[in-house]
Amino acid sequence: MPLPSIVAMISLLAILASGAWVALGLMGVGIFSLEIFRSLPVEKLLAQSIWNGVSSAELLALPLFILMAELLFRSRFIDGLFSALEPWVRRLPGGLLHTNILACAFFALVSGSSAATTSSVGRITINELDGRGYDRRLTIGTLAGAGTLGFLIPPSIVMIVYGVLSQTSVLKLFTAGILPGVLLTLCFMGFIAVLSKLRPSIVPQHTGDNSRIWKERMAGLPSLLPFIVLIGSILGSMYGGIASPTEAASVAVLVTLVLMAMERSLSLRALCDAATGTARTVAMLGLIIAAASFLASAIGFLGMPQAVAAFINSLQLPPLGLIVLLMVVYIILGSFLEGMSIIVMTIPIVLPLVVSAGYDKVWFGVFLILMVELAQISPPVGMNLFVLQGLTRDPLTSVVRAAFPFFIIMLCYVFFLAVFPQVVSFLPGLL
Amino acid sequence: MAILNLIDRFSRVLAVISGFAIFLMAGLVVSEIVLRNVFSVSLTFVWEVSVYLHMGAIFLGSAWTLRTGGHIRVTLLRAVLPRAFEWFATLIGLLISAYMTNALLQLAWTYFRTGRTSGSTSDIALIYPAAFMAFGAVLLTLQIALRLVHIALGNPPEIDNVRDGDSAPIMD
Repeated sequence: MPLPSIVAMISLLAILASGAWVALGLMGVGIFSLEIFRSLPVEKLLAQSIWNGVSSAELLALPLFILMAELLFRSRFIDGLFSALEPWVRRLPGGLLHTNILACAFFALVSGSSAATTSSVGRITINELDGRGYDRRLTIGTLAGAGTLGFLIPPSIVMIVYGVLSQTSVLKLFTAGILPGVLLTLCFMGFIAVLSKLRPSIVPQHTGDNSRIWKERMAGLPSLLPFIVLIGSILGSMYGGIASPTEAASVAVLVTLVLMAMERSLSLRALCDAATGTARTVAMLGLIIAAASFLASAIGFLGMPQAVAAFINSLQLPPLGLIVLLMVVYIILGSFLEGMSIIVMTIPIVLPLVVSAGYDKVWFGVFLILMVELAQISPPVGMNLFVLQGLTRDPLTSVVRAAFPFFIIMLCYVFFLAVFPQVVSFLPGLL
Repeated sequence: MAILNLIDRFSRVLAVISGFAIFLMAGLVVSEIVLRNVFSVSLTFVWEVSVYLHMGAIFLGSAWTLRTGGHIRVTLLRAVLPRAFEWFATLIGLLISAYMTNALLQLAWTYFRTGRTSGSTSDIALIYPAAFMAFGAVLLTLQIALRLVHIALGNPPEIDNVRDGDSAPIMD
């Protein structure tokens, strides 16, 4: 690999390890590398990259879904989600840890963002599971893993971006994400079930009365109603042809406000708190996206993506070998770059390689989404890790350790999809 | 230190404005959907204005986010050498933030000097969003510089108890 790329990687590690803010650290690496190795007007490139990075219309769904999550957090029906799911999973091995996974899958149906899914569900469940004596590491791990479902289960912002860049049908991509999303959810739940059988100490032993469980399940259904209305309004407005996926996010904000007003939890204080909370999360994520956009430009100028593509081409690998190698490359890139940047940076180089190896663009879209999901929980730059660190105030190293088993599950799952691509192509084939 | 408190209050006000900009964005987009589907009228400026509101919101909220510990950092080595690394990390952050602020100020100045507009049907002058971004970046850099003052004075570098709701960990 060329010297500038090596220096960029080492300086990224050094700056982030120093404890500097991630967004500023990413910018710093780009500035440092370009000032040393390239004769470019770095200030102009930085300003323009920041501008381009945050001026994408597709990104608008993110602040809107964050605002919806902030409002939901301040409503009382959030408490209902946990209590409504609880009797459905209580008797499963692993108990209420499944609520994390199911709530993430549920929320992924209303949110196109992985960070928003992790943040929204984590706020509801972390304290609740902590209070009930569940293993904290597993609580965080399930959130880290299942939170990434926000990208895979439609509507997904990342899928829209991929569809636009690769000229692939977004509807086919959305449809292709459904079956892999459901199977991955089941994989996470299966892992929790098996682990709790092997190590019973990770879950508190339930001693409650299960004789009235169906009554409890039915009684909890009205608590799910606000979420059903939300999901219905988002999917209904999208598939009904009323709104685009990003517009559906604003519909979700409106519906949440109406539901809160009906529930009498809407107040000026709640609105102000939600506004400040949204501002904090939007500023944090937006600055990281802006910085990642600049870093993507910088490493492009340093020739890193071309070096990787040339290396892959020279190996003359069989199709599955190419996919395994790509997995390694994406894991490495995902350790340092934000998901959207990885997609934007690599599609022009990697997509022709993959298509010529016999894989179709819809399959590669799902593969790429899963690799981006892995990037969300790969240290040192993993957005879900950051969100969870912000939520729990635990050290990043603890969050990384908690997420690791789910990282491995997802890695095996991607390999499974590479061996059996029919899992992805089955539903779009019915369209 | 009245001046430090004043800057903190100002940063918080900007964060509230930033949050309500997202509310405004949601309102604009919903209006567009209703008008388009009910009256077959499209508000052509909505997407462009929404993008600018988002850009402004990111930067206007950044200073308060920093002051309340909302910007994420890798804390691997900070736990080992907290004091020395706090100075070091803050100084590095200050340098990079100052560089970014200078870049954004130059961009805003260029847009002001050339009178460049978006070129769309609404033809919005780009100086407006660029100025909000640059202003937010200036305040972010100022907050990082004041962080050094807080550390020197022995004050906590971040505000722990903000008035943004008790049980919202990502904000508190």
